[in-house]
Amino acid sequence: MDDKDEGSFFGTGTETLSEEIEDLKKKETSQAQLVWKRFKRNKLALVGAGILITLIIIAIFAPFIAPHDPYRTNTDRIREDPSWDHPMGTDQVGRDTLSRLIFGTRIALFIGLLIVAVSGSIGVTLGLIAGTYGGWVDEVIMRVVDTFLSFPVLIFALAISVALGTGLYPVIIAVGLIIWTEFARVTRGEVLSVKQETYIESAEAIGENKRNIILRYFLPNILPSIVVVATIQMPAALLYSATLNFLGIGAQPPTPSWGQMVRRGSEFMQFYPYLAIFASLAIVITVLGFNFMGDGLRDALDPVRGGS
Amino acid sequence: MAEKVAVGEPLLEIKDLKLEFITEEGTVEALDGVNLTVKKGEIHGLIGETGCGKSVTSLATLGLLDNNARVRGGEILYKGIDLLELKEEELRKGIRGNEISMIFQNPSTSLNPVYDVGNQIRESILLYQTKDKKEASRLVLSELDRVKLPDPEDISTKFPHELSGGMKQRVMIAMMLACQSNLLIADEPTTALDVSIQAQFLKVLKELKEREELSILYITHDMAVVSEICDVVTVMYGGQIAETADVHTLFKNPSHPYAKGLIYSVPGVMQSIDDFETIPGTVPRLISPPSGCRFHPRCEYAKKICQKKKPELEEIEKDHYVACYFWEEVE
Repeated sequence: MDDKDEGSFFGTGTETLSEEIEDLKKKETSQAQLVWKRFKRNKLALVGAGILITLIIIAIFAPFIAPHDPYRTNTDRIREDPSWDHPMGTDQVGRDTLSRLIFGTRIALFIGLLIVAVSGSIGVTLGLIAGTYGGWVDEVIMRVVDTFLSFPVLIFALAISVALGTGLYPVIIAVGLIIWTEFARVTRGEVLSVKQETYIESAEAIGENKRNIILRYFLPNILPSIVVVATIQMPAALLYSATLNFLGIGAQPPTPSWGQMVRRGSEFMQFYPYLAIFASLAIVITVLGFNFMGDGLRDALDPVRGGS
Repeated sequence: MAEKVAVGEPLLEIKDLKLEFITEEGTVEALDGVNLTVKKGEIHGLIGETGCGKSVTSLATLGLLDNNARVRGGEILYKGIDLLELKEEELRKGIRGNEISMIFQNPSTSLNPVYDVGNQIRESILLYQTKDKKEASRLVLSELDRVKLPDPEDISTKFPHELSGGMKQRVMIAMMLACQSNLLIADEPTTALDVSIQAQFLKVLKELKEREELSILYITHDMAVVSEICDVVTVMYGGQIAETADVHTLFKNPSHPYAKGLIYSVPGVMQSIDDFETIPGTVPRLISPPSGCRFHPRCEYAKKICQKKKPELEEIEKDHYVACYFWEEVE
């Protein structure tokens, strides 16, 4: 989303500010309501949230929504054009594309969530340690982050997945190892800024130990930023895993995964484009949904930074 | 550390404390021989202009200074134990909170925004009074009552942003008192408050002193507040102690030229702006402090010797200390 877009959704600066003050005047408005109010104002964010909710519903109720069994092959009807029976056509062994895309939602969301969870826990933990202790601990951790950032992402992920073998988990570890750096950097930065707050000094003045300061003061205060990073890293995770999948690593046939479907489809792109197009669309829509939602959340949680 | 100190006996004694900060520009001599005694059950005012070392002195007491601070000499005795000798772990477990606690200038940023205030006070109680959670929740209400907050049950469920500055500052005190400390360091606690709320807040402090024999080191640059609540006052200038005296003596008969200037520069309500006196010059930069008595460049009584040798604190009458060669000339 570029600046122009945001400008039109937020109106002019003064308008936002006066609305902000209005918001503050209503005494019983809670923090959560305020965030929701700002989030609501951003139409794209609402679209993103809508996409995500739809995807989650599709993933949960996949067996009831899908018109066909995603695994049932039918050699009589391979690479059929879209029809009433098969709204998105069939693939190279006659399986219903729509059904496979619907079941693919489960895989995509599952992988995305796991990757974010894995990389988030690594990154947040290391970021908290670096920010809290500072000094050489901080130096070492941040140089490791720099090292990871300097790797060519795809080659690094390929190397790891190849070393760990095929299947879902190597992909999760490989992609997780790429995107944890963003969590570590943001967490460390936020800890450094929270550290300057007087309430940390107060906590030290009553003799709180380091563990409590991290868990009761740092973590809950930086949580909003971490949530934002998570929603912004989610599409990256999806894209990386789809890319690896396209290259043949990750979920193996006959599991219905989007990356693999794009790959199969691309082989027959000239005379049968439907499979590749629909599978790519699924990826694009999901990634956009997360991006919109992440941007909206970031702006809603931090009106100062979000407005600029 | 359980030993009791009788009212009127010294609780905290800072002796000849010298402290500096290593910065990129050079060494800042923040404290140059600070002497300060806070007795049990007194409110001790520490006053001086911004940057004269008031806050540094208090942070040094709790061992909360930044890493670039170096102690160059002196001792900080609390109940006879030198706090400078203690390790970080010992300070945290033995001193901070349960013996000495501190409240800060800005109440709006001194509370953790993500917990309601009851939760935060309970944390102090769980640290120092009881391990029983139910008991602790009950004690929260009595702590809030102790600082005269109305309707404790309601207040305890409020988040910091839902309270006014004065209420937050009282919650801060409740949190510190819940640690059952003997000495409270208050670093300009009323600067950010309205005058009317200030008065309420000062009343609470005064009552705590009288009822519970709490000792308070009250840091401020507000002379009105000093005259209101302090028993003894220490005037600091440029990292040195200028004068220590009980509050009546100091206001009636200031003997250090700087203390005198400070007291006469307080604008009275009925006074016109042209009438009140100001101290010429500005606070010295402590990166290259003036030699000898640091006040000499701004002092009307200064002579040669003031540039050469720092005057020692001298007891000119009982419990009245002045660091000036020519205090007899000051009137």
